[in-house]
Amino acid sequence: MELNQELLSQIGLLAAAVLTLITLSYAIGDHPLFRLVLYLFIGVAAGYAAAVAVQDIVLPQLVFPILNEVAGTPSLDLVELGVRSLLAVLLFAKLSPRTARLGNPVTAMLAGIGAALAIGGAVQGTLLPQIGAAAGTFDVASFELALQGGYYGEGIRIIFDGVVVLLATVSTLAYFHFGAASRGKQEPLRSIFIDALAWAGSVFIAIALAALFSGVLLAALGALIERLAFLREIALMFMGVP
Amino acid sequence: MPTQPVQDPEENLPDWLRALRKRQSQEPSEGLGAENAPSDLPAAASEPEPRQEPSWLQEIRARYKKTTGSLPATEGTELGDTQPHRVKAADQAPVEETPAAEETQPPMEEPQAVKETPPAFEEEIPESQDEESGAEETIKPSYTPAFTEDQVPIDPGVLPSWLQALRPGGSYPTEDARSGEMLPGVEETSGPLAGLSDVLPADASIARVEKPPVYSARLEVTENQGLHAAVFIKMLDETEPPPVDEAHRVARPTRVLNLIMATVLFLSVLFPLVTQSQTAGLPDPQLFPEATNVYSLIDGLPAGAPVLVAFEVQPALNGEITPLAIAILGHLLDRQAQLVFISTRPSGPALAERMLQEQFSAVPAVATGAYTQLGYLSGGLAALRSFISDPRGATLSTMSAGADAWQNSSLDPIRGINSFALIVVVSSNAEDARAWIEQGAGVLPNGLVAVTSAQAAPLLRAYLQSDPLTLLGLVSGIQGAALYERLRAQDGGLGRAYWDAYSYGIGAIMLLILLGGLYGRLIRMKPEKPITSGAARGT
Repeated sequence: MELNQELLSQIGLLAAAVLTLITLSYAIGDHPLFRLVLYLFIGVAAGYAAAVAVQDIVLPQLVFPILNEVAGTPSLDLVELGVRSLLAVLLFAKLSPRTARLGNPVTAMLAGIGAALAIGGAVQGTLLPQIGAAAGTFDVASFELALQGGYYGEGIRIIFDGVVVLLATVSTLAYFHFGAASRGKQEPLRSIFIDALAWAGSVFIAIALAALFSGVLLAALGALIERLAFLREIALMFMGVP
Repeated sequence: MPTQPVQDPEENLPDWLRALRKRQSQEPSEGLGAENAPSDLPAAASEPEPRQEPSWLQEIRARYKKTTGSLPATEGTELGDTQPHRVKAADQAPVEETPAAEETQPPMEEPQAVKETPPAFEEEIPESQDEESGAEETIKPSYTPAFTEDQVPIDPGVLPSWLQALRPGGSYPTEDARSGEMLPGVEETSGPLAGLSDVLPADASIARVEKPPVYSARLEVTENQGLHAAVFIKMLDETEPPPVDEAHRVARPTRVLNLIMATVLFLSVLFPLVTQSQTAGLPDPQLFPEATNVYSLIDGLPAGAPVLVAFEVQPALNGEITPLAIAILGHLLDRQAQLVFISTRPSGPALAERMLQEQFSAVPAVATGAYTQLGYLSGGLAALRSFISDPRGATLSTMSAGADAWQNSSLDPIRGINSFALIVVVSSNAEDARAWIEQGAGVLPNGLVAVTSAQAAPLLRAYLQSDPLTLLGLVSGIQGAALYERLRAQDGGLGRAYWDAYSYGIGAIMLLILLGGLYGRLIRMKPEKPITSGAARGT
């Protein structure tokens, strides 16, 4: 029996609308239907990822070349195929606790390469450029141009920006400075200067965390708007309104 | 305990044994000298007179006769088995004997050495020994003794060689370790068994209750450790736990507040969507130069320029990023850019394809398939680095279909990552965009632009001001979509359609935060009610 494609599409849209309503009903409290939808979403996402990995990676990169080799129509170099197969078998050994040790070299290789790339990338792509940006806090060239052109307000803005960035950087670093000088038999205390900087740093850290939180909130708001717009379209569609 | 009269074991000796012993007594040197007795025994020691006893033994017998009349049969039997041997051994063993002396035959000592026997040893000699003085010949033992006292030439304080050979390992008590209460025949002096003899002591040391020793629980710390402990205690004291009653009072209206906030938020978002209102003012492009940079870069692309689109979108945030992605991709398609899609997320290629087919199916480039899907790039950072270093050498999921995407003639000019005129990272979180920025640092001289969710923007803004510049432009969220549509002077876009709902929603959120803060203040200012017993139990 051949199903109507349009009917299938409408059924899919209706199911999506019902699942969306159940998800939004979390506003009145947790309930089993919400959990069911949650598990469904997680299961579908994980299942799809596994299907993609098997269909697009495992089968074409490992299984099919082995079958071709067995059938006498090799599609890969034998050495490369052997290395792939060996690594795959060793990694597969991690499934059992008794043979898990065999997979340690492969896991170590994956973790080591990942860590090396992450650290190298962070240093080269984040740390050094950020240090360079912090070192050039005061745009002296622009400041001189602004003064030469008579744009004193712009010059003050450049200085103000530099002061704010410098204060934020230094005070935030001071917040994480927990060293204290010994005072003999009295308990050690941080210096007043460091304490003041740390307090200012806590203000900047709070602002940064608030920015991150507002970003998450705005992202959720955007998702909510899109879902409500979808529900409106579905409602109009089933009501026959163009 | 039943007692029986003591019987001399000599009484039960058979006639042949009596004759043998009599003959042995007449020939003492033949009886022991050949087997047991030392060869160098002096004649005086080897032939003691039957009635001659050491003076100390006679004193013990005399004292014991005064205190006790007779011994139990068991005691007598036991003594008949053991005590004669002990006495003989004590008589023959030297008082101070060394292991070296045990190995060699000790010289016989003078009889007066017996006087050096410790008093404790004298006291434990039982009374039964004195019976052998007169009645020895009449006692019939139930066993055959190896030798008798009148036959063995015992020299006091000297052990015979055969007895030395029987001694275990050289470690043996030189004197009886038993206390006076444990000696046989001693009456119990306390408890319900008082007056009875031959009982185990009732007040043994294990039954005594003593006060356990008191050990000091005070830690020995140095001054420096004490100072650190004081700082730590001070830090703990400064951390005040929330009062239980306040938490209980605040938790009660939480559900009601949730409903109120959800209703306000839903209405503020739903009303503009239903009414299709477009009254809210659009964002000013002058305030977002990073978005203007993205527009300028795309708008400056020549026709047919290859553009790599990394579609790193999660399904959960696809709805939020869709308006912005549509605006960016629409601009790219209008510029007739040659789009090449790739993703390090399994769901990325499917979501990108779905967006193209739903939103741009009428565009000739999409309708004719004049774009390239490289597919899913598996392997995380390592695969990403490999792709950036050598795009054609990377393993892609589209190769599974048997068709290599790089065989497309439109991609012939692309030999490396720098062959792309622009790299656009469409990402729903900051980590994916940061991975592209970090792995491409130093490799991408032109940098890249990011099209992200609103939650990723705060983290990525730092890269807009890095030195050297690693991120050329940034657009994010619904606001970015509305802004980009305004830059393109585009009407009817999703960004503009959602912008009013977005603006009113932000206003509602701000209002709720403000009112929530005031409500919290009012709650704190309210005088605390006494905690009832039910509230204290949490009921």
